[in-house]
Amino acid sequence: MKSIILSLTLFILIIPAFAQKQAFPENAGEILFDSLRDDPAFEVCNPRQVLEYYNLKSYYKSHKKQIVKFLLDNFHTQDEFLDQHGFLTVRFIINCNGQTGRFRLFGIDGNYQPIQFKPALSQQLLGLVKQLGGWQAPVYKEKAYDSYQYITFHIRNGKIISVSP
Amino acid sequence: MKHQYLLLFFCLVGLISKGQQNCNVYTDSSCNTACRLSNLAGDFPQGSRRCQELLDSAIRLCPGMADAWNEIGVPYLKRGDFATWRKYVDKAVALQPGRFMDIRGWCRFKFLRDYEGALEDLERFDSLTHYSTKRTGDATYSLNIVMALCERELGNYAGASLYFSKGIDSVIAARGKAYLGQFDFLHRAVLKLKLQDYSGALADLDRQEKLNRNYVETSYYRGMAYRSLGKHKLAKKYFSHAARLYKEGFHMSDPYCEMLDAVYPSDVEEALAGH
Repeated sequence: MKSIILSLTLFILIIPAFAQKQAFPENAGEILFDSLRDDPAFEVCNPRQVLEYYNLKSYYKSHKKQIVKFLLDNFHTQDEFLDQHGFLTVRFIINCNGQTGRFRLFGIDGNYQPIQFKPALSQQLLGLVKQLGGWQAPVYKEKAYDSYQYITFHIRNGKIISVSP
Repeated sequence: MKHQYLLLFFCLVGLISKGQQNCNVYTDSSCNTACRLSNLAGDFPQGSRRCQELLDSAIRLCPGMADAWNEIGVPYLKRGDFATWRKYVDKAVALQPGRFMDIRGWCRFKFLRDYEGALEDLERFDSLTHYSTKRTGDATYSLNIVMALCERELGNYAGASLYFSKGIDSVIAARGKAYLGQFDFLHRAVLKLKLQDYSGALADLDRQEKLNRNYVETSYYRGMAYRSLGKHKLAKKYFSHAARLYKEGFHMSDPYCEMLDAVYPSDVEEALAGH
C-alpha cells in the first residue's frame, strides 16, 4: 500500500514538472495523417490500436526473400549515387485490409546522424516500397489489425548492400 | 498457431516488462526518485507516452542514470528510428561503457546489419571488459559468435574462424556444451560451406542436430554439403527432410529480424527442383 501511494505521489507531482520539457507522441514512432503528403483514400481501420510488426506474425518476415528480390531487381543505381552511403528507412502502415500508406523516410549516415539522401535515390526506393503488393494484415483470434512496418536499406556507393529487419 | 501464441507471448514480454532496479543502491535522493520513476515506467507499454515521460523525468532528475537513457531509446530502435535510438544509447554507453557498449554493438548487428560498426563496438567492449563471456540481450548468442558472424558477412573468413573457435571450442573446454548458443554450430557450418570444407560442415551440422533437433536449416545445409560432395541421393534425402520439417519441426525465427542463415520454403523447393 505504501509503495502504491509513493508511486502515485511520484506520478502526480513529478511528471507534470518534468514531462512538459519534452513532448512525446502517444506512441513512439507513430505516423499521424498529414494532409500535405498522405493519400486521403488510405484509411487506418482502428487508429487507436496500430500494432508494431513484431507484435504478431508479420507478412514481411515470412515473405522477406521475395520482397527483397523485388526491391533489388527493380532498383537501378546511377553514377550520381556513387557518393551516397548510409541507411535509408521507409516506415509505413499496413491497414487491416492489407493496403499500405503514410510512408515516411528516415536517412542516417554511417555515424547514425540524420542525412538527406539524394531525392532521385530516396524517391526511387520509396516508389519501390509503395509498389510492393500482396501485404497481409496481422491476424489474432480471427481479427485483422493495422500495423507499422519498416524497411531499411543499407546503401554503400549508391548500391543496396543489405535490407533489414 | 502454437508459434503464433509463442510469438505473441515473447512480444508482450518485450513490450511490457523491464527489469526492476533496486533503488536502495541510490543514496542520492534525486537519483533514488529517478530510479523509482524508471521502475514505474515498466508498468506502461514500451514506447507509450506515459512510459517515455517517466523515463525522461528520470533522466532529468538523475542524468547519470545509464539504464534510463538506454531504456528510453529502445522503442525507437525497434521501430526503425535509428538516429533517435543512437542519441539515447550513446549517452548510456558514455556513462557505462562496460554495460552498454556490447548492447549497442549487438543491436547494430541485429537491426541494421551494420557489421563494421558492430565489430567496432564489440571489440572495444571485449578489451574494455577483459574478454568477458557476456551474451546478447536476447540470450541467443555469445558475443564471440556475433563477432564471428560479422567477420563472416564481411568476407573475412579467417577472422570468423577465430571468433567461432573462441565462441565454441573455448567455451566447451572451459564451461561445457550447456553454455553454447542455440545455433553456434549451424552458423560455423555455413562458414565451412563457404570455405568448401564440406566434411567439416557436416561434422558441425551433426553436432547442431544433437544440440537442437528437427530444424529445417540443419537438414537443408546438410543437403547443400552432400550436393557439393556430389552425393546427390543423400542431398535429396536431406532437402526432402527439410521440406517436411517446415510442417513438423522448427525453423530459425526471431520476432524482430530475419536471422542469418535462416532458410525459406522457396530455398528448399529450389534445392529439390535442382534434383
